[in-house]
Amino acid sequence: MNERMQKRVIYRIVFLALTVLVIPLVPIVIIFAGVSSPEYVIKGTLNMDLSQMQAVSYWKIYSSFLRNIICFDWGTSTASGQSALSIVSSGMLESLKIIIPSIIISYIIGTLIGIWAEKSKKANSIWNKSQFIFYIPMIVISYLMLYFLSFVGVDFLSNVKYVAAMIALSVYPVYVITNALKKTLQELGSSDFLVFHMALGFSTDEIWEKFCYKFIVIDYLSFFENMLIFMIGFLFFVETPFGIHGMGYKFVIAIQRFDYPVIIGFCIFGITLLSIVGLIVEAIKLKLDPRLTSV
Amino acid sequence: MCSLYDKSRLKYFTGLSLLLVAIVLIYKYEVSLNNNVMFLPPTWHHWFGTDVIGNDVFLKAIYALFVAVVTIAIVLPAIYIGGLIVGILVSYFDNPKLREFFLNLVHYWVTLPVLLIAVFLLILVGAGQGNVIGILIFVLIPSHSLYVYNQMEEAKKQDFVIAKRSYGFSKGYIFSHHLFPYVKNSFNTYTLSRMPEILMMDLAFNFLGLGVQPPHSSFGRMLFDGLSFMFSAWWMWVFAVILVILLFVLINSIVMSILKKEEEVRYG
Repeated sequence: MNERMQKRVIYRIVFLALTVLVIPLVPIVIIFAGVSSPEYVIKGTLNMDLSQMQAVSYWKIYSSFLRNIICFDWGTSTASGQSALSIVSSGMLESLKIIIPSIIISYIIGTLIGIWAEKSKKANSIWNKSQFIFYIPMIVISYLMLYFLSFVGVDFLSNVKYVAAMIALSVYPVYVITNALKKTLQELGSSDFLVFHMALGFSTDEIWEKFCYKFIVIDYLSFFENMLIFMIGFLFFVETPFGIHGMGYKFVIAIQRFDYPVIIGFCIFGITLLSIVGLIVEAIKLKLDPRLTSV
Repeated sequence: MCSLYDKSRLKYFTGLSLLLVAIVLIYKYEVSLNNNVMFLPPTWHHWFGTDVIGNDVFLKAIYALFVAVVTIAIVLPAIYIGGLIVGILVSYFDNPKLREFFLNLVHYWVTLPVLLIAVFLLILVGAGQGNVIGILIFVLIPSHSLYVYNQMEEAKKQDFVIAKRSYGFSKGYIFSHHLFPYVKNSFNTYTLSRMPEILMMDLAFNFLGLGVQPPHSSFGRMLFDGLSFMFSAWWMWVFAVILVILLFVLINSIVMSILKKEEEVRYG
């Protein structure tokens, strides 16, 4: 691991630790600043086994929350009584059924459209004119699909809902991947790099095989993290309409019930997961891309 | 910078807006004269029908449009100014330690699920469109400042900047007279290109019920309310969907026209 990588890793870990340290402050503010409903204050007090709230120091409450967070003990749902961790993990398993195929579909379709638009002028013009479709928010696409499925008589409560949710979730990533691929292909096609290697006697196919595909893979890897952030963040836009009981759906329910342990659980889980994914992606990128390590 | 500034277009937009305001005012007066009926499909008196408590859906949609436009009108200039100030300051005071810390912090920030963090903060400070706007500004400024910083650093490598330095011009002068004008256009475009993202996040907060509170309405709230009546009262969500699509298409066309203009200016 080179110095640059080490620094990045250290910084990420430090910031992640700081985030974990800040999060327990939130319930304290909620309880003591009276932001929450009195009902939650009582339940929160019982959860923490702090029967005499006024007599307990802020530090004790903070350290108790922090310990619980680090031990992945986020308390029990104030609405259902289930542990927040079990709610989050069950939601995650359901959400993965949509997220993983969506990522694969986005890459495949985005690549195909990108190559197609780059190879043919007509295709490029069609793509440029139809780009606005990909700007439409996924919630709107979900609603329209749901209505359409019902209209054509498809039982949208069956497994079809996963397919529909998957399509709605991958619309924007397809747009991002297509545009990025187009740009990379254009840049590579007109680069000095290509001319230089051709002058050295390499054929175009050889250059593509040896170098260019690698650049595209590195590019794809860069989107992966952002795509995951986008998909996890806006998951509730597809899960709520289709009634898929994944993380997004449960997050919406938790917010509407002011179920703070579950909300905090989702936030900590999301932040930790994406930080780890970020670190892994960065490590792979540094391993693959000699441009990053040599500078 | 933008074809929107063309006088004819500006006149067209102003005229259209005034016409819309006039229609809404007359319509509102007409609606107030009627006894509103719950779950009424679109009629001559209620163009978009009525909702579960008898509110007129057309008026709700217009209010939601107003909320979306105001949100963009506040968030966009705020992140523009905030991003510019932070980005320029970090680029100006080129302390390597400070710079390294800032860059790593922003890189960490942009890899976080910003929407989750924003929801978390919103729950803390309480629901309301004012808070939504404040938190949107807070979560979007870091990536904006990173963009300014990167552009500034790139501009610093340009020959004309090196030449000005060698003439002995002060750092402040070079920043204000050369670097800022150099990055201004691309920064304007970048800021405008974030409109869909802002709208999407606003839609998300309101969908979760953390934005505009009843009796007022927003697109997100209308869509959420419409979900329960997806098949029994289609008018409760269809018009919101149409307006959201139109808004995004309009934004897309504005962004595209600006990008096209910029490309024309840059490449001739």
